[in-house]
Amino acid sequence: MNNISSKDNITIITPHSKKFLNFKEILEYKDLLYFLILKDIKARYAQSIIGVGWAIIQPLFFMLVFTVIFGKLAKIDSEGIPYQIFSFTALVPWTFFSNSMADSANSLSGNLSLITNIYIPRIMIPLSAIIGKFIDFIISFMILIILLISYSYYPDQKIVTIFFYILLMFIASLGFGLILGTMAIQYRDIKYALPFGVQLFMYATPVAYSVNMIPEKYQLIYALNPMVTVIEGFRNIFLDTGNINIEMTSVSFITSSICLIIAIIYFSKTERIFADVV
Amino acid sequence: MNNYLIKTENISKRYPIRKQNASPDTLVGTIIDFLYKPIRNLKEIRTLSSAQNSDYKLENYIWALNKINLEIKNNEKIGIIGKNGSGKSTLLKILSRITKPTSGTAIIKGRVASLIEVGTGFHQELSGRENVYLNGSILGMSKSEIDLKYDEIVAFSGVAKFIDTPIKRYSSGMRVRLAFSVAAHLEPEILIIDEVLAVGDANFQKKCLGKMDDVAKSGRTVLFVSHNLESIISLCDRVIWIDDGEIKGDGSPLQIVNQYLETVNNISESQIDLTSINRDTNPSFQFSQLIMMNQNNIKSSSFNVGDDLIIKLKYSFNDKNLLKSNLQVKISINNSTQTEVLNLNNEVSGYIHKLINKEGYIVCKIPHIPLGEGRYSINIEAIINSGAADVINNVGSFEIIPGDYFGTGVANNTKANFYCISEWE
Repeated sequence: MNNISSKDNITIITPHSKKFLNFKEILEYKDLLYFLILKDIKARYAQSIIGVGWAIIQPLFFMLVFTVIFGKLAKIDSEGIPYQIFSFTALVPWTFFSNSMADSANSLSGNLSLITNIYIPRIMIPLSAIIGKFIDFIISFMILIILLISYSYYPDQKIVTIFFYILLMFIASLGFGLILGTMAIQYRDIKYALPFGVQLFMYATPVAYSVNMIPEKYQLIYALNPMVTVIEGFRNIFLDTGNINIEMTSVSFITSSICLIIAIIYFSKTERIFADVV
Repeated sequence: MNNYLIKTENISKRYPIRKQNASPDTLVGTIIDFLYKPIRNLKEIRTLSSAQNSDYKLENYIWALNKINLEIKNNEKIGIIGKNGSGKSTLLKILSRITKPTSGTAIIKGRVASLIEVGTGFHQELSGRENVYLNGSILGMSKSEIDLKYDEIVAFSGVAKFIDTPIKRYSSGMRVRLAFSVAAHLEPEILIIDEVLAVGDANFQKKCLGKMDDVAKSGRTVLFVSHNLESIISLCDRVIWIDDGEIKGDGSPLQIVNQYLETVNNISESQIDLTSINRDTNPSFQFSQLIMMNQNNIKSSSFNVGDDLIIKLKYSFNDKNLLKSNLQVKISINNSTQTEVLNLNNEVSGYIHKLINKEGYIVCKIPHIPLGEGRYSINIEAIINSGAADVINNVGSFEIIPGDYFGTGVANNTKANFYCISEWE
């Protein structure tokens, strides 16, 4: 039961809010977050034949295409590792990143009635979209483990550090998704720019190729893209390759954290006019 | 001891007026206009985020609310009345935190639940059960609260049999019933309701009003916006009348409602321009003029009982896609207590009106008007492709004075509300 007594529950409405994120309020609405995620997942796979299977089809399909085009035809160096698992190890985090970024970017403009007809902490909307995609990630992650074992790549104790890369991946997609989602409410252009933006982003990320193909002196600049570190981290853990060092990791972590902070500030500043601009 | 639940201090809200730019009629003009549009759009959007008086001229803004000061105590049932566009919905949206005021502050003590729309967040693909939980949590209930009330909610809705069916298979009536019963089982300290009871059939509305009454009696504070003045009078113990963003009256329901009705009824004229009325609906189709005439085609707003009443509506539309669509018009006529006495609909009467020209007229004639003496107001609604295209309430009013309904040569002298032919043996 909600035991907040009426006297403690005072809301003050002012033209500008001072707080950026009201964590207490988010906690009060945690059940809403749960149901929004549930809705997201159930609605996505309703009336589809293979249902959750779609979560793994996208990375598997890309793996096949990449293996044929980049592995067999272009013969891109995969550091001696079968190209299938070389690309799939990258595709699992990349698919999460690109889908959750796109989903959270569209989540606000796709849920206008939740914005104009009721008050909820609006951060719940992009947040639930990202967590919903995280379920897909877990499923494809399990497929990755099975695939690796079938190719006799057994993860060692380094697997503990996977949580750091998953966190980094999460921060990056929340940051980007929140900025784009906030912009998409005011500027409908975002919706049209997003698909090819994601496509371009993929080529700026070592999904189909190895980070070693980038000249050493540019690698720190390259690491401004946090997904570079995430993917190299995944490859390092599972395939024992990948160029991972503390400098690149710090650059990625700092840029994505700054990005998330900017996203939250921008979101909170714009939130108060959401209902007026749609 | 300050025992208020809601207190507002100088709450104001300003909106920019979005002008529909006159479209150029040359190809070059259109191209230049098209290229310039991104810059103009950007400017327009920017003005929304800057709350301070800046470089923008004052005439480009409308004050939806202007320095509203209110104090609402525990347990009060407050009705808010006012014309369309008077600012009452904006006030509710600020108090329910959907939008922020441009200036001023409000202090609210207690949990607020607002019902601006029935069934917010309902998802077609989810079952009734899942939607109860989703909608309940959107309205601010925790999962355990919904668990406790779940059986009650389902029982009240009357859709228990279909609770595990996706709601896309529900009829619209079932959906509304389910949505309302979730809302009805909220237990906030402050309940804000905006006109949501206007949906559903008469039977359901009655049930809702009954439930509202229970809510009000159980000691909660209710803010209720409605055009249904009768239910305002019966439910509320205090009425606030808002006009042009300012409080025009605040006091006992009967007194304020009567003051309000006096001004509403003064707008009566036989020919009314409708282009400048603020609307919520898409401006692609609009009623532009209303004319009332009698059987001799003389414009009038005063009719004898038994006269013909001719309501001529002029419309215009700028969306080519509407060409050849069927225009359905509903005219509803309400008496001085805002009770609907007549509801007229061209399609129900067997007349199909196709949209052929960008401007046109649709004419409704009521032969031998059977209404008793009094003042009546008119609501009009246009429906195109089963969606509301234009809705204007209280668009105009007329007066019925004694007349010769039965054709006996003398004016009837009764106080009856209605006349009809009777057969005797």
